[in-house]
Amino acid sequence: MPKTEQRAAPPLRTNWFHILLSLSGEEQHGYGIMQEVLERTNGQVRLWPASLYGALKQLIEEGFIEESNKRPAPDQDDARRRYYKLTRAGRRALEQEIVRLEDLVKAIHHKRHQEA
Amino acid sequence: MNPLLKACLSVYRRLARAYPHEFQLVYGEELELTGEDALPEIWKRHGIWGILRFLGDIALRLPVEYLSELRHDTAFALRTLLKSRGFTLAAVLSLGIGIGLCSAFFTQVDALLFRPLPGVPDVAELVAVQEPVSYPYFERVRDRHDIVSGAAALLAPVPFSVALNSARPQRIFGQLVSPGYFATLRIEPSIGRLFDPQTEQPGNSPVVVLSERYWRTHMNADPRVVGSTIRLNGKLAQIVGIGPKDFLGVWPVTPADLFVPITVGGAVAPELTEESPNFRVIMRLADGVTFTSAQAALDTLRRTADDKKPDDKRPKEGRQISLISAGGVIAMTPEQRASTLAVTFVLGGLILALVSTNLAGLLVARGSERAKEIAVRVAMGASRFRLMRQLLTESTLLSLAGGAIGVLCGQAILIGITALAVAADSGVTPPQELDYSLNLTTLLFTTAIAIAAGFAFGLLPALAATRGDVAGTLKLSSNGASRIYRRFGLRNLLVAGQVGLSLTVVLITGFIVIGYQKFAGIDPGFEPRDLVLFQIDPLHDGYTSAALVDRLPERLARLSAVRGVTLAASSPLADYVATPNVRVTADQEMVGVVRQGIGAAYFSTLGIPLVGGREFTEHEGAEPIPAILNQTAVRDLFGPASPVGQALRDASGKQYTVIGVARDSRSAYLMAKPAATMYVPLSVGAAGASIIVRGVPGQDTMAAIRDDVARFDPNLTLINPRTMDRQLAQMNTLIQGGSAFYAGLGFFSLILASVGLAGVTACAVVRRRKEIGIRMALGARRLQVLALVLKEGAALVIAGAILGFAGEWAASRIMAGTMSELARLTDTARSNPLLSIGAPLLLVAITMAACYIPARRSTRIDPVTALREE
Repeated sequence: MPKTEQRAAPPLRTNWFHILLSLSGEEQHGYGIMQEVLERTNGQVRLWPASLYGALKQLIEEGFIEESNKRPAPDQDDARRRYYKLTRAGRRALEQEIVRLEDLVKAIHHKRHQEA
Repeated sequence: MNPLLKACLSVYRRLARAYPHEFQLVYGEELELTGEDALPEIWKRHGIWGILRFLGDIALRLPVEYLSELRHDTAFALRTLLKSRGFTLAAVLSLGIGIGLCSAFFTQVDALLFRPLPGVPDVAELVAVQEPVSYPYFERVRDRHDIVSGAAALLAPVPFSVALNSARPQRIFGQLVSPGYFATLRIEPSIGRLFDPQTEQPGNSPVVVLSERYWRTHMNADPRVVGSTIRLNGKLAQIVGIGPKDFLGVWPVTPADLFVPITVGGAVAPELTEESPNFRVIMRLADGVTFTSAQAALDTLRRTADDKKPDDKRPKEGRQISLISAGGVIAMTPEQRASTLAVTFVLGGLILALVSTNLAGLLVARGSERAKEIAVRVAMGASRFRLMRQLLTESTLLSLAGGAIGVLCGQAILIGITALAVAADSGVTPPQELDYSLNLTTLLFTTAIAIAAGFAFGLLPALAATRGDVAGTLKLSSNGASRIYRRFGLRNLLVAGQVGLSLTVVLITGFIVIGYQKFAGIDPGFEPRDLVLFQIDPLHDGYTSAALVDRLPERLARLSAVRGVTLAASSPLADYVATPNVRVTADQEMVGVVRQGIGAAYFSTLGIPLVGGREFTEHEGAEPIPAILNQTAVRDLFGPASPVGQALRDASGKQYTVIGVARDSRSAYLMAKPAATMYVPLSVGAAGASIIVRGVPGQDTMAAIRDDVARFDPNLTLINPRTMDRQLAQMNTLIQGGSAFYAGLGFFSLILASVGLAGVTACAVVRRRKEIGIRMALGARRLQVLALVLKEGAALVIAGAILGFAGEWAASRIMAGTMSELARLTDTARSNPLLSIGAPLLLVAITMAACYIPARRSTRIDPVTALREE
C-alpha cells in the first residue's frame, strides 16, 4: 500500500470497524453481523439494532459496503433480509485500519520491552 | 414470548415506524425483523437493563436520523439557493430590510415601554399619580402609612444654570425633589450622601446631588468634588453626594443630571415661586395594599381635601386621582401605551406581510418551475412530508439569512434616528434619550419573526408545489404543465395581495412625505439671513429682577457688527405647531389667538412689514395693554374693518388696545397657514427671553455679541446661540430625515411589488410557450400575443389596486385614531389630487412596466421551435 495513503486515513469508528471486519469473510445480513460480532468479541461488543442500521446506512453512503445480490438457497432465505458485502473501498479502509492497529500494538510492545 | 417482551416489541415497532419515510422504505422491515430476532437473546443475557438499552437505542437514534436528514436538506437547500443567485440575493435583501424595519420598530417600543427604570431596585412596586397635585396634598398622602410605605414629590424636568468653579455657567436639566425622594426609591449614593428628611430643612444652605453620569463625564469622577461648591442659579450650593450608577431620575426619557431638594426655596429655584406649582408624586405602596384600593383611598383623600376648598374649580364628581406604574422610563397611561403598541404593530405587521407575500409569490412561481423535479422525486419514493420539509428548509434558510441582515439593518436604522435626534437638539428644551442598545429581547424577537416569516411565506408555496399529479407532470413537456390556466389560483391571489399591500404602503407613506414637504421650505414671512438668536434666563443666573433685560438690547445695538436688536418671549419658528393660548374678543365672539410677547423694534429687526399703525417703543403704557395683530387675527376679529385704535378683551378680563397690524408670518413650522397672532409688550418671567439680532452682512456678529456680553456680565449664560439659517437647517434635517425614511419605505414596497409581478409574468410566459407558439403559428400578431400575456398582469394589478385603496383607508383610520398629528397630515395630503390619483397611476405604470419586460420575451418566441420542444 502506498505510504501516503497509510498516513492520510483517520481512525475508523469502532462500530464501523467491526461491521467491516464481519463482512470481510462473506456476505451477511444485519442480524448475522450482530451475532458474528458478539461471538467474535466474546460478548464484549454488542451492536444494537437501531445503531446497526444507522451505521449500515452511513457505510453505504461512504461507499464502503453495498447490497449484495447473492442469496442463499430459497428454503433458507427470508425475503425481507438484505445482504451486504464489502466494496473495494471498504476492503481498503478495513486493511488500513488493521495496519494502524497493528502498528499501535507494535509500539506498545516496544515500549514495554524498553521498560523491562 | 412473555408479555413484557411483547409490550417491549410493540413499543419498538412503533418507534421503528416513526423513522423518516425514506429510511423506512429501505431499512424499515429489516429493522423490525432484526429487533424481533435479537430481543429474546438480549432478555436472556442482560435482563431488564438489556430491554431498556434496546429501547433506548432506537429512541435515541430516531432523532439522530431526522437530524441527518435535516443536514442533507440544508446542504441541498444551500446548493439550490446558490444556483439561483439572483433570486436568493433579492429574497434575502428584501427580507433583511423588512425584518430590519420590524426590528427597529420593536426596539423603539421596547426602549420606550418595556425597559425598566435604571439604577432603582424593585421598580415593579413604584407607582405614580398621573396628574400633578399640590404639595399639601402630597404631604397628606405621604403621611398615610397605611397606603404608602414611602412617597416623594418632584418637579421635572427643571432647567438649572450651573457653574463649576469659575467656569462659565451652563444649562443642565435636573429635578426638584422632596427630601424623601431617594429613600422612596431605595437607592444608595456612589459616594457622599443623598437627601434625608431630617437633614434637609428650609433655611439650610443649598445642597445638590449630581448624577453619576455627569460626575463621570464632566468632573472626571473625582471623589473630591463631594463637599465642594458650585453656583446654582447664581447662588452657592454644596455637592453632598453622587447618585448611583445608571440613575438619571425617574422617567429618564428626559434624563436628570442634577437633584435639588425643594427646601432650597424660591430664592434658588424660581420654579418654586409660581403660584401653585404642580408636583408629580411617586410612591411605593404599603404591604398588602393593591393598586385599586390605593387609587380609591387617594381619591377619597382628594375629595375630603376638596370639601375644604369649595371655590376650587376642579370637578368633584368621579375619580380624580389615577395611578400609573412608575417603573419605566416614561410616564404613560395604559391608553397611551396601548395606542403606541397598536401603531407599531400595524406598521410592522404591514411591512412583514408585504415582504412575506412577495417572497411567497416568488416561491410559488419557482415551485411551478420545479414541478418536474418534484414529480421525479415523488416517483422515486419521497413522501410529500419529506418534500415539504425540503422546501421549508429552503425558505427557513432564506429567512434566517434575512434575519441576520435584519438585525444589522435595524441597528443601522436606529443609529440613523438617534443621529437625527442629536442633530435636531437645540439644548433649549430638555433632551429626550432612549436606550436603543441591542439586547437579548430584540435578538430573540427578530429571530422569531424571521422564522415565522420563513414559515409563512414558505408553507403555502410548499403545499402548492407538492400537490401535483405525478404521472401527469412527468408526461408533459419539460417546460411544465400547460394546465388550463386557473384564474383564481393561489399564485394570483398572492400577487394581487402583494400589489394591494404595496399600494397601501405607498399611499400612506406618500401622504406623510407630501404632508411634511408641504410644511417645510415655505416662505417664513421674514428675512432669515444674518439673523442671530440666543436665549437668556436671568432669573436662573441669579438675578432677582429682569431689569438687566432692558439694558442688554441697548448695549448690543451699539456694536458695529449689529444693525438691530429686539426681544421676544420665544424665537420665531420655535415650535413645530403653534397653538392658540388665549381667547380674545372685540365684543363679538371669542377667537383663539397665539399671544406672543415681543420687544421694541421687533418687526423692523425681523423684516416683517407693518401694514397699519406702529411698532412698540421702549416705553409702553400698562393699561390697556397695547397689542399688534397680524393680518389673520385682524380678519378673524374685525373682518375687513381697520382695527387700529379698537379695543379687545380677553377671557380673564384684561383690556387691550390695537396699535398696529403686521403682515402674516409663520409663528410655527408645521402650520399650513399662519396662526392668528396677537403681539404684546414682553414681560420677562422665570423662563427668560429670546434676543434676536440682525447682524451686518459679512461680519461675525455672534463673536461680537459673545465678547460684549462677557465684558458686560460674565455670569449671564448665553443659551443656545445660533443663526436663523442654522435653526432652519436643523429643522429641515429632521423633516428631511423623516421624509426620506417614509419615501424609502414607499419606494421599497414598490420595488418589491414590481419584482414579484415581473417574476410571476416571466413564469407565465415560460409556462405558456407552447400555447403562444401555436397562436403565432396560427397567425397571431406580436401585439396580440403581448396583449394576451399582459392581460393577466393587468387584471392582477387592478384587483390589487382596489385592495390597496381599501387597505390604506383602513390603516389610516387605525393610525389616525391615535395620532391626531398624523390625521391632520393625511387629511391635508389626501385632498392633494397629485397623490390620490398620481400614486395609483404611478403604481400601475411601474407594475405594468414590470410585466412588460418579461412579456416581451413572449413575442420573440419562434413558433416552430416552441412547437417542436418536448
